[in-house]
Amino acid sequence: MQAQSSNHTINANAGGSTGALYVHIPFCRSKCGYCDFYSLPDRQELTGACVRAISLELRRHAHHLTIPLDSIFIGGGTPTALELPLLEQLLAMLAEYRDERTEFSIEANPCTVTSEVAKSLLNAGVNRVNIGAQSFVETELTALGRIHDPTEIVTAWETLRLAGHERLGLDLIYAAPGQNPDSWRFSLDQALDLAPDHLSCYALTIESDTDIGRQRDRGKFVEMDESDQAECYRAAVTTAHDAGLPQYEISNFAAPKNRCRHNLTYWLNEPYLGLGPAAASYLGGVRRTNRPDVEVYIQALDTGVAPPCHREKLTGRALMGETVMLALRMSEGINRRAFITRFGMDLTDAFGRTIQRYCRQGALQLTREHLRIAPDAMIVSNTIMADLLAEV
Amino acid sequence: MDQQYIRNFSIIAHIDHGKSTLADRMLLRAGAITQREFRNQLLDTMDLERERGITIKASAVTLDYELDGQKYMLNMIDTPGHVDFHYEVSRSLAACEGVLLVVDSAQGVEAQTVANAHLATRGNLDIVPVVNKIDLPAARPEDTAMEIEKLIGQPAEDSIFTSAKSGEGTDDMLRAIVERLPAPAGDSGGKTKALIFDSSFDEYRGVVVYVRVFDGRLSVGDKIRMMGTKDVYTLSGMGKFCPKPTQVETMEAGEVGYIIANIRTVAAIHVGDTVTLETDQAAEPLPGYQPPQQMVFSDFYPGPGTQFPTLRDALDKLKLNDASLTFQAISSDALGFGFRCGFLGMLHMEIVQERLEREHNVEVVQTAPTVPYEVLDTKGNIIEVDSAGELPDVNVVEELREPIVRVDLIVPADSIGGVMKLAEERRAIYQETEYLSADRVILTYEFPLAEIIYDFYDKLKSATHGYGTMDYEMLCFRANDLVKLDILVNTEKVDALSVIVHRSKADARGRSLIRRLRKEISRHMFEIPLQAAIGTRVIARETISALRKNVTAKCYGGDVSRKRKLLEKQKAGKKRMKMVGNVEIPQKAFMAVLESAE
Repeated sequence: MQAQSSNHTINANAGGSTGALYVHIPFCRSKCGYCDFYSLPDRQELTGACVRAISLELRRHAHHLTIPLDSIFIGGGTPTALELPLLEQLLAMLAEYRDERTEFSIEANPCTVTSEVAKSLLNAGVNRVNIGAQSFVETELTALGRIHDPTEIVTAWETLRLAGHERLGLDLIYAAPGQNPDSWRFSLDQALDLAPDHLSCYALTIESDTDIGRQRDRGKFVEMDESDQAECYRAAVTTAHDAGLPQYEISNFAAPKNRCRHNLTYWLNEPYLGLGPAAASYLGGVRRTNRPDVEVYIQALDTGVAPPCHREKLTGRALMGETVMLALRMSEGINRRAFITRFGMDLTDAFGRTIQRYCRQGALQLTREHLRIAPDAMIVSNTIMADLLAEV
Repeated sequence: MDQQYIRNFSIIAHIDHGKSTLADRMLLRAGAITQREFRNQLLDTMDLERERGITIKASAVTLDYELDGQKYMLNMIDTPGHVDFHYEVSRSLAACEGVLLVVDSAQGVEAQTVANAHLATRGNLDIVPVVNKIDLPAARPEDTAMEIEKLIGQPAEDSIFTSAKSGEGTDDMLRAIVERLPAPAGDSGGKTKALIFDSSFDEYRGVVVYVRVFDGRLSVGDKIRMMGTKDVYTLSGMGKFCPKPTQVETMEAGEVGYIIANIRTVAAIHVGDTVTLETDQAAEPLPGYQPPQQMVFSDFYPGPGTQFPTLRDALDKLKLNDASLTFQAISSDALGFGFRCGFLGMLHMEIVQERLEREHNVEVVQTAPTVPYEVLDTKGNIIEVDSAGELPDVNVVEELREPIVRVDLIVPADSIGGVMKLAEERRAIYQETEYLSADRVILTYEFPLAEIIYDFYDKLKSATHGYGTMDYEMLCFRANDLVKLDILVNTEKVDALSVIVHRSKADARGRSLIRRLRKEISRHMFEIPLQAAIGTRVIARETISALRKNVTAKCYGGDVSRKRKLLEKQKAGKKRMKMVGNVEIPQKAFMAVLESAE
C-alpha cells in the first residue's frame, strides 16, 4: 500500500489530472464550539443553490478527473445534514465518476444518520462513513458544543451497520474542556467496543476565533495540561494498536487495507480537486482555495464564471519542504527513492543538518528506504518539521 | 596661502545639537554649496550614520571666505560624535587651533559637550561658544550661555546665538572664527610634519588619508614616511574637499587636505601618526600618537545560514575602511569556528554588526561583549586576556586587573540620589560633584569599564527621566577580586557564556544568569539542566523541562498552506541560533550574560 502510494508520487507534478475528489458541504445543524471550518448552521435556504453550484463547478473541472476516480470524500460541515432529496441528488451526481473500486467516503454527525440516509448512501456507492463521535462523555460533548449525546453515537452506528455499511470509522477529540486522561480512556474504550475499522483521535486545537477559543481567553476553562495531553496521545496509540488499529498518521489509526486513501493523497502531496465554498484543490502544482463565502460562490457559478479563490504555487525547495512536512505525518514516513525521483536529490542532501541532528537524538529514523519520525517523537513532530522547513 | 589667513577649526557638539546643519549653513553662506545641497548634510556620508544621526568618519572641508575685503581659507575638521571615538576626536582636535563648541539651547550642556570641551581645553585650543537652536520654543539661550560659562570659564556674553535652521547668527559665527581663533604658526621652511587625523577607503583611489601640515610642505611625487608605522609611500595625489574634491599639487604648513599614496587598507594608516619626507626626515614626530585601543571584545560566529569563510571575507571588507576594528580567528569548544573582534566601544560594535548583516548579508551570532583584562601571573608576567575563556589557571594568577574608566555623568540635580545608588551597584568610586547650574550637576566617578558597557546607559536614562548623559575615558587597569563564572548547558560547559565577575557579585550573578537563560532557551524534546559554577563549585541550577507536546492534530487538503506557515512561524526569529550539543541557544541567550543581577 505504502509503496504503491509512494510510486504514485512521481506523477504529482505531471499536470492537472487527479483521481481524488473532495466536496465541501458548508452546512450543519449547529456550529460546534471548536469548529473553525467554513460551515453555516442556519442557511438552509441556500443548500439547493449550493449543491447546484457544486455541480456546475464539477463540470468546469471534470476534464481534470481520471475516471473512475480513486477516491471521493464528502466533508463539511455536515453533508448528511442536507435534506435527503438534495443529498441523493449530490450522491447521484458524484456516482457517475466512480466504480466499485472507488473509495467513496462521507462524514456524518450521529444525529443526522437515519435509516433512510444510511440506505441512500449505500445505494449511491458510498463505502466509507466516518462518524463524528468526538466523545462518549455527555458533559464533554456539551462543552464541545455537540448536539448529540453518547447514546446517539451507538444508535447511528447500529443504523449504518443494519443498512449494510461495512467500513465505518469514528472521530474522537482529546484535550476537551473538562476532560482528563481517565475520561479519555473511557471514550477510547467505548469507541473501540464498536469495532470501527478506522479511528481518528485529534488533540483539540483551540483557535482564537471560535466559541471555545473565546471561552478559554475569558478564563472559562483551563486547557488540558501538556503532559496529560501527551498521556492521552500515548493512550490512543497503544489502545488503538491493541485493538488492531495501528497508527498510520499522527491522528489516524487503521489496518493497512483500511487506511483512508483519500487522505493519503494529501500527505503524499499528490494532486486533488476540491469543490464547494472554501474547498481547496492542488492541481498542476497550484494550491487553489475557494473563497469561504457560499453566496459569492453560488453567484459566480450561476453567472458562468470561476468562483473567486486564493492561489499559491510552491516550487523548488519550498515545495520540498512542504512535501517532507506532509509525508512525515505518516508513521511510515517519506520514501527516499520517491523523493529523489520527484526532486532530483536525496533527502539527506536537502535537509542534512536537521536530519543528522534529530537522528542523533533518536527522534528521526533514517533507513535505506525511508525517513520517518520515531513513534515517541510524533507528539513533538512540529519541532522537527519547523526545523526542516527552516532549512529550506 | 600665508598662514595668517588660514583658520583650522572643529565643531564639537553633543549628538543632535545641530552640528551638521550648522556646518552646512557655513558652506552655504560661503557659497561652497547650493541651497539644494544644503539639505543633504554633506558631512555625513554613510547611510547608517544618517539613520543613527551620528558622524563616524571624520573628514575636512575647506572653504574660501572673504571678510572685510580679505580672503581667508577656513578648514573645517569634522569630529566623530560618540564616546567610543575619544582618541579619534582628540586627533581631529589636534589638527585645529580652535573649536566652535555648539550647545542646543533647549537641551543645555550635556556629557559629551563636557568631554569635548575638556579635550579642547587640554589641547590648548581656543573656544568659541555657540548657542544653537534659538528658534525653538523651549530655547533658553541665556541659561545655556551661563552653563557654558560655568563649564569653560568664558563669559556668557562671548557666546554666539545661532539658528542653524533659519541661518540666523551664521555671519557672526564666521566672523568669530576669523577674529577670535588664532592662525596656525608652523615653520613653513622646516622639516615636514603632517598629522594624520583620519582616513577613509575609496574603491578607486585606495585609502584617502586626511592630514594637517604643521611644518614644511607636501607635494605630489614626494616620497613620504609614516613615522609611527615606518611605512614609506609615494604621494600620487592630494587635494581638498571644497566640499567637492579639488586636486592640488602642494600643501604647505597650516593647510589641511587629503593625500593619496596607493595605500590599500586603512589598517595600514594609524590616526595620530606623523607624515614626514623620506629624504628629509623630521627628528621627532608630533606628540599624542597612540595605537588604536580596543576596549570591547565580542566573538562573532557565523549564523546557521552563513559559512565561516563568508564571515571572514565580510570582516576583511569592513576592515578596509575601519582601522579600529580588529579580528582574529578563534575556535570555541561549544560554538565552533568564529572570530574574536575588538571594538573601540559598544556603539562601534553595534555598527560593525549591523554593517555585516546589512551590507554583507551575513548572519552573525555574537557572544556577550567583554572588556580586556590584565593578568599578572606568578612569574611576574603581564598577560592581556580578552575573553573569560582565555584566563589561565587560577593557580598561576597572582592578580586579575580590570580596566577602569573615568565617567562624567550630567544629570538633573533632583536625580542625584538615584544615580548615586546606580553607581554604587556598579562598583563605582565617587570622585566629585560640580554644579553646572542650580538644577544640573556633573557627577564624576571611576567605574570598572565592565560595569558600564551594556545596559548602564539605559539605566542612567531611566534614573534621570531621560535627561542624564554620560561620557567616559580610559584611566588604567586595576587589580580586583575577580573570578570566572562558568555556565553549563546540558552538563556541557559553554565557554562563550563564561564571564569574569567580582567575587562579591558572583552568586547573585550566577543565579540571575541561569534564570535568564532558562527564559531564553526554548524547551527541547528533552530536559536541559542549566548550571552556574565557579571552578567545580556549582552555585546555581535550573532545569528547562522537556517539551511534551507540539503537534498539528489535523492536516488535510485545505489546511496545508496554513499549517506550513504556522510551522515556519515557529521557526521565525530563530535564525540566529547556535547549537551546543543538541541544544539550540539563541542569540539573546548569549547577551543575557550581561544583564545585571536583579
